[in-house]
Amino acid sequence: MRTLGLRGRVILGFAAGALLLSMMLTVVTDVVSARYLVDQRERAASRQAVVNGLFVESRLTKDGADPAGALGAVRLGTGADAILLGPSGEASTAIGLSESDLPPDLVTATEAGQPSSQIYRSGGSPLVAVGVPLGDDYAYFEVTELDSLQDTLRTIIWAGMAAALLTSLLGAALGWWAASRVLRPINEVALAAAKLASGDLDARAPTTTDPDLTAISSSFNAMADTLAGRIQRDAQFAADVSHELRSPLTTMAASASVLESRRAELPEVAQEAVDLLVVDVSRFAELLEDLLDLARDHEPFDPTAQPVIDLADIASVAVAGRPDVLVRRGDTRVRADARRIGRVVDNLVQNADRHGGGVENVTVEQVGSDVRLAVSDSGPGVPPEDREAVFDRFSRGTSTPSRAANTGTGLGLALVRDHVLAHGGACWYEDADSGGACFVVEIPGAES
Amino acid sequence: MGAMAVKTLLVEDDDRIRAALRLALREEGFDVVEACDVAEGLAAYERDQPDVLLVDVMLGNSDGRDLIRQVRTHSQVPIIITSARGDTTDVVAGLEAGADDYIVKPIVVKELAARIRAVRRREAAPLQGEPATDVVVLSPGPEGLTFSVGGGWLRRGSDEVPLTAMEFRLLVELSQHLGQMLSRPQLLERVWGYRSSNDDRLVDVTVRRLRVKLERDASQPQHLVTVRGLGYRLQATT
Repeated sequence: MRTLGLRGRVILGFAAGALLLSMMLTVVTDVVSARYLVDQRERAASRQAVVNGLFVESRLTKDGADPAGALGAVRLGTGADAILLGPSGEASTAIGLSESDLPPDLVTATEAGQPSSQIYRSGGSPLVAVGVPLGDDYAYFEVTELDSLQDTLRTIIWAGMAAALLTSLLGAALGWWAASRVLRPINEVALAAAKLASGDLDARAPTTTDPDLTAISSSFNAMADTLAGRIQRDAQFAADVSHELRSPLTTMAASASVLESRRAELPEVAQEAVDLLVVDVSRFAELLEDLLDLARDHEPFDPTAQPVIDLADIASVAVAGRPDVLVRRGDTRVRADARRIGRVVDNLVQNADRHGGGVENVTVEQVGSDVRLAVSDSGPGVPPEDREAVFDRFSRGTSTPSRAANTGTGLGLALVRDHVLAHGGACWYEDADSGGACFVVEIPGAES
Repeated sequence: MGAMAVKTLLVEDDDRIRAALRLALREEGFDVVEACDVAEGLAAYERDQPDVLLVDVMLGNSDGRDLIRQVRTHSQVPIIITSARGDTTDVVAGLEAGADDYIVKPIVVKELAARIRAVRRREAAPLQGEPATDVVVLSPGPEGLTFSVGGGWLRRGSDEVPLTAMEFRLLVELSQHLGQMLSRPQLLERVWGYRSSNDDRLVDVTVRRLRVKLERDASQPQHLVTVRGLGYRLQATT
């Protein structure tokens, strides 16, 4: 089961709290009002019974009426019955009641001369019985149904439950609002972190005056500052080193080219040494360019702010001199940095030339809203286990580098991936129809 | 080598690079004159009248771009800048100072030789001789712009507008396709001779410089217009 998020837990907590509170309130209200209402009814019934009892007593004693006549003159309230018990041995007179309906304790207490009342259940409905001792050992009892009271209490319970439901809904809403309030600054920090991760080193969490939140936003921003500073220093260092290496390398390259042009005048051993020197000086130069490119990769780059260029034009430059290998289809315009995308095509073509027995086909075509560049060669292809790793830095596959040829820097495809990702695109390996390798790059078209 | 050798003024503050480039350029058949800062470079330029200047943009404490600007006040001699930085700002600043091309260190001598030959190609074209029969009228009127490939000039009215080698060659290419768009890679190849470069900065900066000379308002070009995302087009006005 999926665990509930913070927002969910806060909402649930608020709702449960509200429900519990309102339920408790309902129960308390119900108990209190039930007790109060019953009390009220009991008192009213007692008062009525006493009044009626006195009336019966006066009819019996003063007017000399017989018990049935005395009782018959009593005006009973709705849902009330009465019984008049005479001295022991004398028959009782009743309206809708018999003696056995009365609770025995009440009868005993009343006959002992103690006016009393009692609530009891008979036949499932609650009743209140009131006993009033009269003169001449008579006892008057009145029994009133409490059903209408029951209805009132039921209504109160229903109302309480409805209120509880409403309150818990309100509680949930309050929880949602509170969670949003709590989560908003966290979301802002998360947003800033995501921007930071995507390479925007200037992304910071918004500053706040809330003392409870300054800790998180200011420590996040401090971390971002440190991180950005370190990344910039690293990139700057790599760039500086590369720039500093360019001067001595220029001397070396120029001197090597002089030696190369005078190769024929050199002894055989020196010739071999010059060959090695010349190739590796140029490899050194390429490596330097690639390292600078990698260092530049840390600079902020917004693909949507780039000019519109035609990828097929870029590719045609990379395969200049071999125009028949280029196939272009559809609208191949993209938003891109010409230098970086130029490097992508150059590196793929160079890769095919160096490791794949030469470029066989370069296709630039519109695929949906993207523009696809595919460079295929006629080489042996890349074994499945190496297809991810070829894009790693300094990966050279399993081919053995020859001594005379320039096998590249091992950074070419890594740079391809860096540049393509920076443009919001993707790159991968496929098997070419010819059996060779095919490297595919897709970047969003200019109109998308 | 003899008298026909191209005379190159090499302005570079690093002694070892200068020595190595001198050796290598001489091997390529160039005549090399050296200078190590702006003052020495200007003196050597006046004294030796080189055919091409090769200027490092960062000359220790002095700025190679100052040298370029001073030379440009009275000369359209081809200038190539060399830079240890390939960053946009550096290269663009050098080109805006008036350089025709640039090359980033480490310098491959064969490539440098090709660049020198490319920026000098205009010199080889006949400048004098028969009257110009190929005059292109870019705008009419007594103060109008006229251009002749054969004559090698651009005139506003009867005044010649001075153009550097690459500005001229860019105008030649565009005027030969008057009213048609040429892409940046096309211009790079036809004007600068780059067969495999996607560096738009060279084209863009030279177009900007040419607009300043060509247009009445360089920010609202009437003749040398941008075709968004594709390239540039030269058009005549009526």
